[in-house]
Amino acid sequence: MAPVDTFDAVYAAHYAPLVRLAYVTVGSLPAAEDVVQDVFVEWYRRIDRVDAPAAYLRKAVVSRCSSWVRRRVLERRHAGTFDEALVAAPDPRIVAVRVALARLTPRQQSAVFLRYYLDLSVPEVAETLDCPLGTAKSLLHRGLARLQAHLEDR
Amino acid sequence: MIPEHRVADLVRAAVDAIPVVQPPSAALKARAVGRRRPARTWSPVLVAAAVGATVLAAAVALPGRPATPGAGEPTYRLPRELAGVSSRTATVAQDPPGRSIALFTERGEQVVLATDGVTYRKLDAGGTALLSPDGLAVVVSDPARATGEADVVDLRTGRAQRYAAGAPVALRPLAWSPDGRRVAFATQAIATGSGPAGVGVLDLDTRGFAPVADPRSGTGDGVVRAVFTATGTEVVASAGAEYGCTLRVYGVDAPTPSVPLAVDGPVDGCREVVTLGLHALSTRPDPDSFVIEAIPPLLLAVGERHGIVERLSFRGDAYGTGALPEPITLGSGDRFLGWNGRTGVYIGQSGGVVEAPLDGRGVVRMTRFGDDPVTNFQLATALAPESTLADVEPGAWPWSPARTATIAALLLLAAAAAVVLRRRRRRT
Repeated sequence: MAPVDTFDAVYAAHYAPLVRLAYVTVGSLPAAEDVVQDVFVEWYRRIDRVDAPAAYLRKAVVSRCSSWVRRRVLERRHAGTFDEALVAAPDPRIVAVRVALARLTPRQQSAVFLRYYLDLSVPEVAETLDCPLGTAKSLLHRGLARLQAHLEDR
Repeated sequence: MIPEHRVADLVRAAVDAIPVVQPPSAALKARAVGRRRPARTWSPVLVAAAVGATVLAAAVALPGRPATPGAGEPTYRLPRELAGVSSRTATVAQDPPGRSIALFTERGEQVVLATDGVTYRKLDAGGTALLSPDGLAVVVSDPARATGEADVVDLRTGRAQRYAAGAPVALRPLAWSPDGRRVAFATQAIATGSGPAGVGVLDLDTRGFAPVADPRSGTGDGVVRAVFTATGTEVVASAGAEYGCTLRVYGVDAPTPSVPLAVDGPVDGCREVVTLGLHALSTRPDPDSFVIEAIPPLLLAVGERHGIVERLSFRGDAYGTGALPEPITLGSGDRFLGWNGRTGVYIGQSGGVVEAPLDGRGVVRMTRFGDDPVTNFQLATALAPESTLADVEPGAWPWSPARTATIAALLLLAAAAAVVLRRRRRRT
């Protein structure tokens, strides 16, 4: 497959999930779109050198989101978490899940998303987060526990 | 408790509800082939470069020690107390000291002291070293190996040039010519360090090496010493334990059979006569009468055994008074370092350097050595008479401002490069 075809196919399949992944972490849809688009642009520039585009893109999105969160941590502390318009979904269960997700740490959010939305294995989550397997298990365990605790309160 | 699969379903439903509008892929491709944003990528490098330039400018502009120690100094400073070297002291090659006032050995290291009186640098090359009269170069050779090679280290650049004698002989530097363009060596086919030795002269301009004196037989107990006349065209040398009070004069440009120079008078009973230094005003001896009085004033040293010099004796009417200076008695380990203009000599002792006036008024202490023993102390003989004694602090920092600034700039650039690489790795 030519690089351009590869790009189009991967872009079509992974753009939306990656934006959602970024959004879960950064809590801002415009920021999530910027992050993901930057990652695709960077990938396109070196498309011949990337063997596993999906894993590469996931890892790049998580890495950039972490940087973004570090830069904006103070803003987030003062400005709340998720965009209110998005949190205010019509389904109360969805609202509850989004609020619960917003209470996780950025690393826990990414781990939960990768594990339960993208159905990655725990080793794949660890690789994407660039952390040891034990750390990934801990992030998932703590993230899941906090989600369960919050959802049970509702 | 909500089971894990139920939580997964809820997460999936919540995330799927996030509205995502996918822009056309062509838009991203256009961005990819468009101009990058170099300012963001290279900003750490630019910041580091700016900081480095600021540090360099500050190092040059700030008052105090010069950027190139010892270079272009209007005055030459000798410290009242010699500071010791440390393991952090840079070498001449790493951080050239510039014009230097002294050379000495401490803790097994040969060290030069720049004319600012505070900058110390270790010589990189091992061997016997001799500082030039103008303090700009050091000649180094190994008298224990018959390599026929000598290095001349430029103290302004730290670079060494190798010169070859053209024969496999051991070389021991004896003297620099007053203009710093020639060096006289003792030459030995078998390196012993003492005993019969010839004298050869290296011309730094032509790179030619001229043997001017062959080893003399029956001179196996002493040490050859030599000194140039003021013009640099003759070498007055002792042939090493030559019995009788005899020196010999050798021409350099056109080597000729040696001319014996009788020494008598105040040097009564000498077994060995060695020439340690001619006054700067000394010129060529009278060709028709090689008597000592023809060389005003000539410093002589009397060695009683194996080149151990026990007193300095003088010949020649330097002051036009008709009276010769009284001999100066030397203690064990004392060494003649050079003339202090027309009024006295510098003598290196075990604890420091003293100035001994020729009028016998007693010695004046100059530089005191530190706690560690200092040996083989030498002065840049052309600079020493112009030098001033100064109470200078050796300074806690062993590097020059220029070197410090350079290293700081390199560290900043390295840190900036690391930041850039790390950011790039994160992006990928």
